[in-house]
Order: sequence, then C-alpha cells, then structure tokens
Amino acid sequence: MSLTLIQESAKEVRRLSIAGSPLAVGDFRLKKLVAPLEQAGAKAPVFGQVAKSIGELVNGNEAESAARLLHLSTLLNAILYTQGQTTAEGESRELEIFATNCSSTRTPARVLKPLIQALTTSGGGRFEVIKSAFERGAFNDLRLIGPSVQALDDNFPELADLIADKILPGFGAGIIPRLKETFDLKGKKSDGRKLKLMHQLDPAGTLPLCKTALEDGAVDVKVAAIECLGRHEDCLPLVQEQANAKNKVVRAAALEALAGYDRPEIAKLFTDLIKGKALDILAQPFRAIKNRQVVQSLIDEGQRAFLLLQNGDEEQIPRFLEILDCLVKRPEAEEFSLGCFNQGDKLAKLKAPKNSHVTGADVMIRLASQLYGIGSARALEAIVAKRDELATAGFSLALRSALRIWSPEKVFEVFSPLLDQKKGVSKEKSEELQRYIVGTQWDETSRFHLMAHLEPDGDSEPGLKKVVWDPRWLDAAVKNDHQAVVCSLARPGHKAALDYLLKQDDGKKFSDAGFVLRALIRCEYPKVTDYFLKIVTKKTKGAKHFDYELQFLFENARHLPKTDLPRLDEFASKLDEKFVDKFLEALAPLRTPASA
Amino acid sequence: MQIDEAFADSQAPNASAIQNARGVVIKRKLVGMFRSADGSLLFGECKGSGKDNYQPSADFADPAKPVYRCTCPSRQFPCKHSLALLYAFAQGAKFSEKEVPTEIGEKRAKIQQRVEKKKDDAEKPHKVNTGALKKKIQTQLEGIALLETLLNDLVRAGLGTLNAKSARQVEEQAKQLGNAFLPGAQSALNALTGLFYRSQISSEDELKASERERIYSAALDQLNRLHSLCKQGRKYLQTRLEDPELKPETETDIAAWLGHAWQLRELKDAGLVQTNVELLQLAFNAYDDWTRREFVETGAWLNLQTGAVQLTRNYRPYHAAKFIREDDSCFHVMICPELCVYPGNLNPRVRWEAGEARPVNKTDHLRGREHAKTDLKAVIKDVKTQLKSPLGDRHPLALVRYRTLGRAGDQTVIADQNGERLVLADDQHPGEPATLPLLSMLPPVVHQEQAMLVRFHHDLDAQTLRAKPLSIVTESEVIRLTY
Repeated sequence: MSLTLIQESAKEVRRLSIAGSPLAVGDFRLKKLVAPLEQAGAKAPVFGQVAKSIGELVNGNEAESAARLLHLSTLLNAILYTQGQTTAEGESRELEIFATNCSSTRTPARVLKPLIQALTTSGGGRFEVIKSAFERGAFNDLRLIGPSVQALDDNFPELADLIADKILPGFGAGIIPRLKETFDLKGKKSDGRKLKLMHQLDPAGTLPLCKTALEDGAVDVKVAAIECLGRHEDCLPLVQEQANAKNKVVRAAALEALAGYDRPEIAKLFTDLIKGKALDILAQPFRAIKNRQVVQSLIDEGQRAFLLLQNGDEEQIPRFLEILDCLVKRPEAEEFSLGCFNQGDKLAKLKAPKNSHVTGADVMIRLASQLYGIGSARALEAIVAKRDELATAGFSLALRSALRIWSPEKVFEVFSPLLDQKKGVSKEKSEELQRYIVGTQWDETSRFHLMAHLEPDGDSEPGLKKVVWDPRWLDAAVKNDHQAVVCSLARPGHKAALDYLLKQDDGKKFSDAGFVLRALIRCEYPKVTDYFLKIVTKKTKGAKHFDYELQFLFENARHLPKTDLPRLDEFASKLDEKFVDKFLEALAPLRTPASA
Repeated sequence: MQIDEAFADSQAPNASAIQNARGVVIKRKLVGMFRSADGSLLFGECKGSGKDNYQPSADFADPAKPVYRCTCPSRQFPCKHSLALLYAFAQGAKFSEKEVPTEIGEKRAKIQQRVEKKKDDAEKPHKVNTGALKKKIQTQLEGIALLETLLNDLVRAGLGTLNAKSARQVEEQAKQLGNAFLPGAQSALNALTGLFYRSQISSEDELKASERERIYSAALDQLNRLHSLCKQGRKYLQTRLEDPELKPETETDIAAWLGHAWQLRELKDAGLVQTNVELLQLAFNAYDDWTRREFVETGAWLNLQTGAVQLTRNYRPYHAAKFIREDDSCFHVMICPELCVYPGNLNPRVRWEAGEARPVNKTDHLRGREHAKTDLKAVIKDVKTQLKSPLGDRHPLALVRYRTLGRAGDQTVIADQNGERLVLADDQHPGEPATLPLLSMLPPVVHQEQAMLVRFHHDLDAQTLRAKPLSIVTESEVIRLTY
C-alpha cells in the first residue's frame, strides 16, 4: 500500500480541521490528491473510498463540510492505525546491565504512590514522608530509583541532600547511567550533587567526568569536581590550579580539598595566601591543615595585626577576626590567643571600624570563646579572671569556665549574689545564670522540653551536663522566687522547695504546670498523681485545643508511679473526648514492663 | 479464613483508614474482643466519641463476602472500629469465645433471606417499563443530536479557535448530555476539551503554541471517535426505540460508550459470566481523571483459565471518593466463583461480587507464562484491528512471550521466536512512571525467554505503534514495573 498518499491526505485534513471545515470546500491541495488516489484505488479499493470521500468534501457545500471532514478524517485514521511501525532496523545487541542492590517490586501502590509523589512534586510536608519511609526501609524498591534521581533536583536542599547522602547510595553503582542521563555540566547545585554521588559510587570510573567538569563545568559542578578530585592524590596538581581561580567559591573549594595534604607546594600556597587579602575563604581549609609552618605563619600574621590593634588601629579588627576564624580549635594557637587576651585592655576599648559594628570588646569575647574552645586550665583561668571586665555576652563563658575549674562551693559563693540582682547589667547576668542552671538540669527522659529555648547555645560539651550545683542554690532560688531554677534543682526532702512548688498553681495564670509536675516527681512527692489529675482537670476544663502546655503536662505522665495506673485509666473515662487519645498515649509507657 | 495484617490492609477503604484503625488498637480503645465458636464472627466493643461504646463486628459467614458492621456513624465501610478488630486479631490479641449476639444473628438471617430472594428474582423474568424506556431513548437521541451539533460547530470553527475558555464553555454545554442519559458521551467530549487546558484548578491554564501543535492530532482523533459515537449511537438507539424489549448490545461496547452502567444481573442474563475463575494481577495503576471528575484505579489481570488479559476499573467520583473503597495492588490470586465480563475489545472489563484471595505459587507463574502469546505478528495484527475501530480502546494490553529483550539501533526491543521485533517505548499514561529505564536494572534472567505484559500506544504524528512494558512474568515472580 502506498502510504504516502494517505499520509498526505491526513496532513491536509489535519490542517483543515485546525483552520475550519468550510475552507475544505474547493480546497485545491485536497483536489490534487483525488486523481492519484483514484488511480491507486484500482489496486486497493480503500484508496478509492478516500478519493470518493475527498471528492464529496471539496465539491460539497459549507453546511455539510464539518460532517464530511470528520467522515474523511475517521476513514484516514482507521487506515493509518493499521500502518503503525512496530519494528526497528539494525543489528541486535544485548541490553546493558546496570546491577543495583535491589530488585524488589512488591511495594503496593498505596505506599509507593505517595512516596513517588513526594519525590517528584513540590510543596510542604514531603521531607517527613520521605524520611520516615527511608527509616522504615520502604526504599528497597527498584521503582523508586527514577523518582529519587529526580528528587536530586528538588528545590528543598535538605530533601535533596537526604536523597544524595542516604537514599541513592543504597541502590549501588547501577544507578550511575540514570544519574548521567540528567547530569548537566553547565547545571546547578543538583548537578554537583549528582557528580559527587557518581564519584562516591564509582571513584575510578567517574574520574574522567570529574576532570571534564573541572574544565568546562559551571561553578557548582566545578566545586563538586574539585571535592572529588581532591580525594585522588595524583589529581592534586589539577586542584592546585584552581586555588588561583577568579571565582572565590571555586578557590575556597580548591583550598579545602588541598588542606588535608602536607606537601611543600601546598604549604607554600597557604603561606602566600596568608599575606593576601582574601583570608575569609581560608577559615574552613585551615581547620584541616596539617603543616606547622603554615600555622605558625598565620600566628605571626595574627601577632602583627594585634600589635596594630594595640596601637589603636581599629581598621585591623576585621582582619584580626578572620585570622581568629582560621585558628578555631587549634591548640597550637593557645599561646597566641592567651597573650592577646591577657594584654587586651587597650583592645577592649577600641571602637568599631568604618562599615562594621564589631568593637574591641566583641573581639575580646571572641578571644575568650577561642580559649574556651581550647579548654586548657590556664585558658579557662584567664577567662574567669576577666569575668567582670568582659561584656555581658561573655558572661556565660566566664560562668562555664568557672564551673569547669572551680569547686561547686566556690562557684556558689562567687556567682550566687547575682540571683537577687534586679537591675541593669547585673540583672542580665542573673538571667543568663538562671538560664544556664535550667539548661544543665534538663531531664532527657522527657521528650518534650518546654524550656528548650532557654538552653545555652553551643553547649555541646558532655561535661557540662554533669554539673554539680552547690545545695545552697536551691535555697537561694526559693528565696528569690526563681521558679524555673527551683523546678530544675528541686530534690527530695527539701520542704521549702516542696511548699514553694505546691503554691505555684495558686495564681490565675500558671503556665509551667508540666515543669512543676516534673519537679514534684523528682521530689518524690507522695501525692503527685492527685496533683497531676487536679492540674489536668483544671487545664482541660473549657480548653478548646490540645496546646503545648497540655502536651508537656501529658508528656510527664510517664514518670508517675506505675501503681496509680488504674486511677489514671479511670480518670481517662471521664476526660473530655478531645483529649482522651493523647492522654492514653501518654500513659502507654507506664503499661510496658520496663517502665518505672 | 486467614486474617493477617495484609488482609486487614486490603479491606481498608483508604490509607488513612488503615492508620486510624491501627491507632484504635494502640490507644486500647477496643474494650472487649470476642469471637464466635466457629470463628466466623469477630465482634467487640470499642470506645469512641459517643456516649456508649460502639459495637463493631467482622462477619465471615461467607468468607468470599465478609460483612463489616458497626454502630458508629461513619460512612466509610469498613469503619476504623471494624478494621481495628481485624488488626487486633492479626496481632494476636486475645479474643474470648462468646455466643453470636442476637442482633447479628438476626442480620445474618436477613442476609440469607436476601440471597434467597435474589435467587428467586433472578429466575423471574425482568419486567421492563417500556413507556419509560422509550422516553429515555428519545431523550438520548436528542442528546446525540446535540452532540452532533456541538461537534459540527467545533469543526466548522476549526480546532485552532478552541482555547481554555471556549473549551470550558463547550463543557458547560456538554452537561446537557449528562442530563440526556449520555454520561459516556459527556466524558468523551470532556476528554477532547480537556486537551486544551492544563487543569481545572490552574489559573494560568492556556496552552502554549508549541503545546497546542502537539495535541491537534489527538484532538482530531477524539473528534473522530465522537463522530463515530454519534453515528453508531444513533443507529443503536433507533433500533432499541423500535424494540424496547431488546437487551443492550453485547457484541460491541457501544452501550458503555453511551454511558450504560451494566448491572451484574444484565451481564449474567447476557451469558457474560465465567465461573470458578482464578485471576492473577499483573499491573495496577491509579490516577486522577479530572476530565471525568473521578479517581480511577485500574487493575490488569491475567485470567488463569482463559489466558485473557482483563481489566478491573474502580471509579471513585470526587464527591464520594472518601466513601468508596480505594483499590490497591494485589499480590494474591483472586478466586472468583462468578466473574462478569463486560462487552468489549481485547481487554474487557471484569467484575465480581464475591472473591477470595489465596497466595500465589510457582504453578500460577508457569500457567501465566503458558498463556503468553508467542507470535508477535499475530498480536500486533489483533491490536491494529482494535485500533482501526474508531471506538476501540486506544491502549490495548497483551501478555507476550519473547525470546530476547535487547537493543536494535537506538531502540529497546523484544523479539519472538520468529525474530519478529516489537519496539518498546514509554507513553504518557496518566499517573504512571516511565518503565523503560528499569529494564537495564533488572536481573539478566529477564533478558531471555520470559513473558511481558505490554500496553500498546499508537503515535499518529510519528506513525509508530509502540509498547510500554508493564510487568515481566518469570518462572518465580511477577516483576511489576508500574504499580
């Protein structure tokens, strides 16, 4: 069958159906096809039918043109549907095999579909869906590879990182061709992620691609390539070339990749850079640098800047801070930092330079922070010694240093007078002190922590969680009516504290019920369950929502005596239906044999 | 009757019902759990928001048709309380033995009566109110005339003038087709107009010029279908108008096209019932058909007796979606004492009233593979025959046996024992992921001598007929590439 004539006719019909059927009447292009179709019709009657149908359309009237055009179109499509090409030319080859670590396809649609939707669409709430699915092992399905690769381009970086760091590596090197399909050298951060992932799955195989990316890639891709190439010692010269790149981000990435190697040429590179202006990009690489000479050069540069500061040149403040940034957590810099801190009286008085708000006093706090990070006895002693001279923002450092080197008694004697301060800087320090006490006493067995926002920042040292407070702190807190501190330090047998806690619900506004309850539990107050039920009754009466207060109160129910469970269950039957579910959930830990 | 968590999952109307029912168990809201002596009834008491406890039950008097009852006001069936009973049972909770409550005994008796009445009714000849039917057919014929006018207007003005706004105006007019007992024709017209805008809720829904260029062929094809529907529908309705006693046509699916909702009884009367059938699900898909305003769940099943690939379709209109059970992938073999088969093409729709699930075994896979068509040329011929019919399903499915799965040129192909090739390609089926990239990631054993379920699609512009792989049946498993 000569398809050309049919295809030609279908093309004209398509054109006319777009333009409008009246134009088909007398259409010369269609008319031209009638004769050859009639000729072909002698061999295959279907051509004759098409020719007849075209004839009726072009020679008919406009009123009937629509029905006739549709009739012709239906006929042509019916023919074309029988002529679809199904085969392919060429020699047969085997299908490439990209073995992955999973071959299961047994996840039901109800589980798989929402997951694919979360991976391939935008909008809120998707991260949790994906994270929880990953945690319960739902990603062990071949059909999730494609959507996961697509999710590397997600606008929400945390989601894309989760996919790149945790989920996709689990599928194995078989996914590399999928990653390559959508990898764009001139792309964005998502392409950088793809390159790093490919390199992680197949370091040797991806090396040529990394080299190409280094040459021709966009900034984000180049940065990823540098990170990958930095892991191959033989590729260091390539990375080193990028240390002089015009783009600051590329330069920083190259320096970071090089910092881990202790080689003379790399040491020279860093030593030269210290003298230059772009010190800000060195902070991160310097944390990995091993060469002592380089560190010494930086310290020397720091000394030089400090001398200028001592001479009243406040314009040196930004540079001095950049140097301190580079020396974070470097024990070799202790002597330098200590020297600057101890001789910092003039520095503390310097004003902020132009276009900056950082004063000399802020630099002193920064030095104190650096010394606290080093954590040696003499560093801590130096901070404590300057506790009255440091600005309020540095008070926390002085307190923490004191806690690490002094006895509890001495800490109490020196710092407790602050508790009754009600005005000015002393009040601020008092509040900081209270926050600190509460933070160190937080009981981790409670999942929900109402005072979490009060926890001191950056307090990751495990030692501080074990702080022992002098017993007199509790008396001082009761005396000065510091509820949070009393709740934190309350202990069994302290009558004044118990009386104080039981009075707390007298006021009309009592918002820390959960915190007080936890303190009463710690005090081993025998009627704690009665107290709990009284407060729950009070709080739920007329309450419209399950708010944070109730949530915290219920969270603490797990610490109630297990023997009171029947009473608690009985109470549940009377509780407002809105809160019953949460209440029963809160009691669940009491039902398990392991709970106290 | 084996009640495990997977069974409970399968009975739930939707995913949130599963979560809620599990919550009921965790929150210890089931305050009494009982079972009848013969184990055919689980019942209990459950705390809820009402004053009195609810009384859920799960009745397996007929294991093929479990009945769930509850005194709660939920409109979902089964409700979370009845489902919770199943989960508690599956998790090994203690169910004490108790006599069947009187109310349930009475309800069981009523069911029995209904079954018997149904049997009696089935034997009685079905009376047709010919006067009403004639009136309905007359209205349908008027609807057909309206559809024809709409089509002619569209073609006269040209598809080039159709945009998002005018497409919606046509849809407004098409509502009259629904009023004229032609919901099938209305959906078909919406499928045409739906091509001209992005979605029903988007504010910027106008298509770009390049996008419009791509849809014209599909739009013209849909116009052809509607044109044929008018012609064939009018002929069919006129025949029925002359003889209202005439049963709906079973040779073609014209009745369904016009929107006839087949009753199982009608299918049985027409002899479209197969008995004691075992079905193995090979593929599943769920998507939102916004032109129909319905969620659609489609299962592709292999009839292990006849070897036919048959489809289940579950339509859940938006307004009632929450109350209709959502279908899910099925990894069991369904045993259906009676399988009703709709009139249709290569892959007819099927339904069953009662069915029981059993685990899949190796023999099922072997039986399935035996049913796979070995001659690709013959399969393609059948597919083309269906495609050339204007009202034929445009996406037929077939289970084919292939000798090799590999590459030819830059295409992925399967080849049969005669060396006949079929090019595989992904399509734009709604709600379904691409499957071609998965083929390279499958174990090498699938590259030779397996059976593949494929769905065909014809590209009118490129003049190609391609097949999308949906699943592969090996000797030991069904590898699902979609859902």
